[in-house]
Amino acid sequence: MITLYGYPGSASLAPHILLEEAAVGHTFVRPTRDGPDAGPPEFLAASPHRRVPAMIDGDVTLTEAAAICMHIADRNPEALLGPPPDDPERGVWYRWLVYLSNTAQPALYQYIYPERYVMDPHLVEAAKHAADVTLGAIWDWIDTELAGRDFLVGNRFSAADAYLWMLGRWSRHQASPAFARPGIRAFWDRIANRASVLRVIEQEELAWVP
Amino acid sequence: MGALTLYSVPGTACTVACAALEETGAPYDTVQVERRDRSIPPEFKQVNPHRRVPALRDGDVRMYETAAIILHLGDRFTDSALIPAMGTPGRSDTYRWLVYLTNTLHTAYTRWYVPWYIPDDPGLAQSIREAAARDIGACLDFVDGHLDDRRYLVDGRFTGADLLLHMLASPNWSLDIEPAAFARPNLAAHHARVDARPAVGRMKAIHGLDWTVAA
Repeated sequence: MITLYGYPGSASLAPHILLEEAAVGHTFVRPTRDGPDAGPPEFLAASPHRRVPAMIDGDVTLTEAAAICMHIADRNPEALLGPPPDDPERGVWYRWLVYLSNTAQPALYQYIYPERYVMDPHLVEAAKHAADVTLGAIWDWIDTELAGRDFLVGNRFSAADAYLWMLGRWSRHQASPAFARPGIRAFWDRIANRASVLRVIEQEELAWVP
Repeated sequence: MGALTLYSVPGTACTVACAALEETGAPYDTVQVERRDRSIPPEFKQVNPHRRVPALRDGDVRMYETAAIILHLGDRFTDSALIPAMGTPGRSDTYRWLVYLTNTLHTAYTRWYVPWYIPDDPGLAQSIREAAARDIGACLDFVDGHLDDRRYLVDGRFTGADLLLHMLASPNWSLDIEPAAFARPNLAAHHARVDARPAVGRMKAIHGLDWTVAA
């Protein structure tokens, strides 16, 4: 049995979608992060920073959403969540997951939690604005990459698409969210209507889906 | 996939892509990209539209993102030590460490060093740098603790994640960070261990790096 620790709509969303795609038995646990009730202990041991997602899959304990996505793809090859290691597209799949995880995601964190990115409280709004500008350029570029294609890698759904969908949802408070762009918008609707995604929206009770 | 060409600027994150290529033992070409004017050479834009280095052309496959390049080379050259084979212990843990180092420690360094993230506002830049230094220190502390009873990041064996840590803790990256990365004993010992690898020695010669760190 796989246990995925996360919160609705958080960075556990992409791994959760992939577990539904693979149709493997799993439990979605919402940990208590702070205070004397912090737990469960398995989560605290799995994630020293108490960050989500964390996952326990038999003898493998993992953190980092992109790494968990790669792991789920590896363990469930029949679900075709990523190209196999000898496929030329495999590298492109890694490239997208890493890019989304180390470029778009940190910019989103800076937009959502700007107070963590500056020491001077007077500069919080400026840090948020800087992230907004950075994100605009990222979404513009991804929008052009999606021109004429249905998915990020190859011609089929993969873990990279679940990841982009998750991050796109986080952009909803931007003046120009990711899905304000036509290519990303069409992509967004395509992913949102997958059976796995619809199940996760229901299970996590995600109120906000455009 | 085919001939390998690394697009490189000396001393940058290209060092880790170079070390990974040296670990594979495969032949590859290196094309120098202008440090300031990334439109030179012109074909670089086709390999990485973001014009960041390192970038790797592998036949028709265009790779960028340091961690992704390491993973790609690991899958391509299965005899290398870069990542455990599919289905073997340590595979997913290698993903975890590569992703963590790239999206937490490496991005904190980016906030420290590179102004692309920051508009033209010196006060804001300074405040972002201070927060970045705090985050780099916390991350180095965490990794140092993880290495308390381990020789490498992934239990029991060297992987490409160790190359990435080797770079991110090296003197030319952590020079201005207080306390220095190597004030942490486990990080210093890990660095010396990875530094002793022949592939890393070749990378340092190629990039003109000559630091030594006492274990």
